[in-house]
Amino acid sequence: MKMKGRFLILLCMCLLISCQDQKEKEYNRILEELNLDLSNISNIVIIPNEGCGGCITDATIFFQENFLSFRDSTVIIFTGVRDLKQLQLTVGSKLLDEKNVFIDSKNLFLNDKVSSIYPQRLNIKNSNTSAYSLFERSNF
Amino acid sequence: MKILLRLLFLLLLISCKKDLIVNEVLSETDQKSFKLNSTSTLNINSAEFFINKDDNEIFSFLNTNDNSLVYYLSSSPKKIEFASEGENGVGRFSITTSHHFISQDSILILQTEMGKLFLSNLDGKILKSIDLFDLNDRGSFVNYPTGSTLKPMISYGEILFAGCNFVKFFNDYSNYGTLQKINFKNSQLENIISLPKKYDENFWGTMFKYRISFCLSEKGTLLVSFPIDDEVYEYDLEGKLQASFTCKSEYVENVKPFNANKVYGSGSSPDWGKINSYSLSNSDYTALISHPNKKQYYRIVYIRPSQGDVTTGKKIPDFSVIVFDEKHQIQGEQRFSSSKFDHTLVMATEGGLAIARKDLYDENNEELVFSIFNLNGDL
Repeated sequence: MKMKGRFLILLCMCLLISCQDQKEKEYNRILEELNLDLSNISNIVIIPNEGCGGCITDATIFFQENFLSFRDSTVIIFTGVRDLKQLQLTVGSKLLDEKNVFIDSKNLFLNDKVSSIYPQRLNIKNSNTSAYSLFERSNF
Repeated sequence: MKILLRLLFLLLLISCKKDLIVNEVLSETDQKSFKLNSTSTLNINSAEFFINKDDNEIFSFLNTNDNSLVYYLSSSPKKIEFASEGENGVGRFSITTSHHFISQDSILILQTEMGKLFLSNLDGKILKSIDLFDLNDRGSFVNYPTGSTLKPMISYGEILFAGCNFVKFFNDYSNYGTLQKINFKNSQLENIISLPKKYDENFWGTMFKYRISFCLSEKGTLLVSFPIDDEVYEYDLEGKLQASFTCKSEYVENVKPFNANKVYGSGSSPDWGKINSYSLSNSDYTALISHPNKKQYYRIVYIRPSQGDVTTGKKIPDFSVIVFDEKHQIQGEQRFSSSKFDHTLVMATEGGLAIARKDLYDENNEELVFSIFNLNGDL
């Protein structure tokens, strides 16, 4: 009986890992398509245009105020952008003009396999996604 | 001989293509252009054309970027900046804030996030404030009024009509009003018009599938449309059903419900991914608006993308417009592409049906251009 329980837990863990791998694979496929230079990058932050308004504003304000500290190690990608003028008004040209700030013009991160109504953070190792989570100020 | 055959084939192809174009019932007859200032964009959630006492049409919209109301007596903008706090404070404008001119110098502002309706003049001075619901006591109200570009508030005498959203999702809404009457003279509120029979069974998806759209008719009645229902209903201003007629889109198939349980999700964890995907991939009747002369009505249908497209992030629908007259005779239906036209800025003006041009805005974001459409027979 004990053996059966352990086997089930192991199976669940395998399933979870395999699901996570699928999502990581999709992130990496998109990053490959975007063809960004991630050689010195440790984090990517994906900020959607629509979703949790407070969370999106919080992530945007955080990087408006602190991006100088992360500009060489962090890439910011705005996805779902419908109106560049509106993005410039909301985010400001100063941040948008930074070298590691991009717009996902093909909306690749709106793909249901990876999209979120919250800003997301990807941990990057060797130019690939090694982990992903929702954006939190405390991670930076 | 071969050349002749090719030429004949080409002519046949062209003639087939022409047949497709002939089916169009609306033609572009004019364009209206409005200059946008540096803080104004196409990100507009509340806009209207208002005809003043001198019979001039005023176009206006709320600008959430600088808490202002922008209006046009000509093609150049004028702006009223609203205070967010203090004696004349109306809070910050957001996607849920809407406005409506009731006269040349009186504007109603519905601040859903504050539960208040403000009456302002053209100087931004608040003349009156009406409490609509208490946000701190969510158990005290079942629905709340809200407006948008496609579902604007309308007024008749001292009454403002605003469509409602329900407070509690996954609920039995049978006895809830979907439309709120707000008397802006004596501050009385009344909820009228419950969901039609089609909603009695089954669960139909996200909240926007339950959202009423309405306009005033020539007879002074309300014409009412619901997203999943082929019927258009006629109610008197007290909310009593007078008649209904079928106004079906060729783009809306017999929609199957998301779930046979009317209160799906109330007892267990709902699958939001599936609910959203279903809602965004099943076409619906989004809006009903009337021409100012009340002789022509436009039922706007969102032609939703396939589930596959929604999955890959392509969620913006094309749309069609069904035109019917004051006798409820359907004149025809025409499809519009969302790559060329903005699917949220479709409005009625004295000149005809105004649809904002997304493609022209993408080329020049300092100008908002509407294409004006009229029935082919009216040319």
